[in-house]
Amino acid sequence: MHTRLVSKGAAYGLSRPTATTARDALARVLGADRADAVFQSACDELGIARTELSVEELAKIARVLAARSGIESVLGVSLQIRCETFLALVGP
Amino acid sequence: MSEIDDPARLRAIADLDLTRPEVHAELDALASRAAAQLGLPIGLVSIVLDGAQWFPGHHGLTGWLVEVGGTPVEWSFCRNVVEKHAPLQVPDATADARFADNPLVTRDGVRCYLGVPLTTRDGHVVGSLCVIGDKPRETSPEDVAALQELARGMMERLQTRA
Repeated sequence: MHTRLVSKGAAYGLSRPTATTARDALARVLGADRADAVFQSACDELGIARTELSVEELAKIARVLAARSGIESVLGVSLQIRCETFLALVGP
Repeated sequence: MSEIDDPARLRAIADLDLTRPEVHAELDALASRAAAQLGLPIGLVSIVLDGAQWFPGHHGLTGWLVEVGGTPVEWSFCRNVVEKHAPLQVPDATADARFADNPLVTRDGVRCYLGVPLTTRDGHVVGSLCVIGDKPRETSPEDVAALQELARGMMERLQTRA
């Protein structure tokens, strides 16, 4: 019997959100320098110093951004939905 | 850069300040009215962001869609409304090659869809007012016009306040 291997992270075509994909998404709209500063400020606010982040930590960062004003809020909501969809349908 | 990622469009969304709690209540009521008017179980105010669609107003959703309040943008029917600046009618998503494999169809049971653009005074299409059903359904020009009227009124109110 041929067994089809499907990684958990690939369920429903969802890729696991990472710090890199989150920063890249911010950079597409804000530019790389501002994206790094915005992402770092959210990490600082949460006391997160590591670069390897879990999806749950990314979701927390997204919520910090979503609570801000202007375009940072919009980008935060977007990242938050991606992270929470992954957590709801795939898991941590 | 695609229209979905356009910073000017995303700024237009930010300017609407849709995170205000009183706005959510109003948009929920509008989604409910849209669903009732079209005789379908689900109504959504869907704002299409760079990586996700966000439902600041919704009626009839259940399960994880309520908890998350949106979906990844690649699953979004409403994304097509934003890209085409035009209504989208999907009478039976399971028979439509664009959507038949979409998890919202295969997993969550979306079957028919009608969405109209939410357009700012500056011409940015920020999302869609849409109705969804779990059975196949053709929609009429009158259905489209009714939804467009609701969408126009909502955008006027939001921009007057913002």
